[in-house]
Amino acid sequence: MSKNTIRNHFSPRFTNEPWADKNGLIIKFSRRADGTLIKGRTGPREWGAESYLYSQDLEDALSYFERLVKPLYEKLLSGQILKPEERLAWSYWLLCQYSRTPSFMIELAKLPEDILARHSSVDVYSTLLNTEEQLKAAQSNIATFATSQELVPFLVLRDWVVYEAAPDGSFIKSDVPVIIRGALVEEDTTILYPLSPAKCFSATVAGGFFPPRQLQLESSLTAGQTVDFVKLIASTADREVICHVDNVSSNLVELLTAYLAIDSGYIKLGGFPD
Amino acid sequence: MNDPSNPDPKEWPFEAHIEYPDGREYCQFAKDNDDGTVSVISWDGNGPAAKVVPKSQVRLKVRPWEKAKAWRSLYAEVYGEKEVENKFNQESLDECLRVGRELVAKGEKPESELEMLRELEESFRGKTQEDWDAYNFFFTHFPSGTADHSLLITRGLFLIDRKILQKFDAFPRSLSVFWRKIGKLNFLREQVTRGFSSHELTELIDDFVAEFELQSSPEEWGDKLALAIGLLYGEVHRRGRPTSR
Repeated sequence: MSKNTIRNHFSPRFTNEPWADKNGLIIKFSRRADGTLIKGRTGPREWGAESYLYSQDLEDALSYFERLVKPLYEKLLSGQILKPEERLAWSYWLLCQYSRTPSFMIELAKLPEDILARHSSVDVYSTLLNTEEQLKAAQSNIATFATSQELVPFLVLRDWVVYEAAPDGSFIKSDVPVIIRGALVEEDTTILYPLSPAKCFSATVAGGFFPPRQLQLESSLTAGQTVDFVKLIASTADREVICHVDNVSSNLVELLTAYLAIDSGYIKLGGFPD
Repeated sequence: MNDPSNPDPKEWPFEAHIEYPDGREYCQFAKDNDDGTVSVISWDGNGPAAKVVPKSQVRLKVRPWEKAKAWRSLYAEVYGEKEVENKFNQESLDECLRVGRELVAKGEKPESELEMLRELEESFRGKTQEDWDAYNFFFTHFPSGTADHSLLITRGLFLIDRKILQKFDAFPRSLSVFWRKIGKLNFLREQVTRGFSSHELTELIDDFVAEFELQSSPEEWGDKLALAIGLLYGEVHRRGRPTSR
């Protein structure tokens, strides 16, 4: 009997696990339409998934890719240097992770904003007349985007820095797991991918001048810099973020109240009103 | 000056945003005159015309599509496959040696310049066209002439890794000396990737080069590094051949 995956993860389980405690608990924050912050409980399997988000073929292809990438994720977390071939695979993964979120798919499908404003779940859209084909096209765009030889040079050639959060700070993760702010062609474009509460991957151009040297560095952030990263991750979220239960604090709640989902790069799925 | 309606992008490498008291102007083509002024090609009612403005009023940027070309060119340099050039074979090697010997005899070149060719001649004695093809592929893609040792290390190991992956079964862990060489080169690459300069890696480079019996003089260790990487690639090629199993 053929496999039929109902819940499709746009944020794979292994990438959510670093935010879980030993009991598998993750804390999530999202917004009501009135702007108030909601705190909830979730887990690595539950969070970052939508029902019927991908076709089974795409789900299978993504699962295969995830198995290839998981060791690279662990290498980056443990400070090991990636080989050039592994750098390529990781760069394709960044593109894949960037393009497989519900919000990006809808952006690509170019659904009318008035439809988006009336519904808050992706599987509702797929039932709407004339939108199914657009969503299928968006799905195929994930594959195109993730294997794009046109785009991968802007990632693989950059210098990579794995930042460590300040001792009294931590990173959150949002439903837009890879953040790209600015044009890929520019040296000062920000590309972030939080890997765990303690580590955040960044692709940059060290020194700010082309050409980059494909360095892979580690750097520790100050408390203020860590907060700046968290603000950026929160503000570019589509609807919600997760954090480790040990890192929930009144300061974080205050920050999320001010910044969560205020500057999403995509069309927002409900959530914070403009 | 060139025709302003058809500017040469190389001569006009920037785009410019000019600030005026009463507004802004965008010019797609601009160049820095290095004298505190910038030349731009501006459009007015009569069409395109060059004009000079103070640099303090201008924000210059490399045009994005020119930058994209630079990124793609770098990508081709690091990851790309080029058409194999410099078709070298036994005939051309013999010719190089003959000319080299003549120049050394006349005192126009030092003896040391022949050493690499002699080592090549020695290692290619009786080899096949397949061996020459591998050599030509390697030296088309390997920046052997560069003084940038980090580039030699990174690119060299990348080519070697790819070659090993093609015939991974031919490289069992029991080849301890071979894997020790690979391990040393890999460690060097890791240090380069961590941002260490080749000057800081002198001891590690010497240690890697010491794995090979080279004739070149000690002060030319940069050349020795390229040669050592080339020899390691040759070893990978020989072990990966079906006939060597």
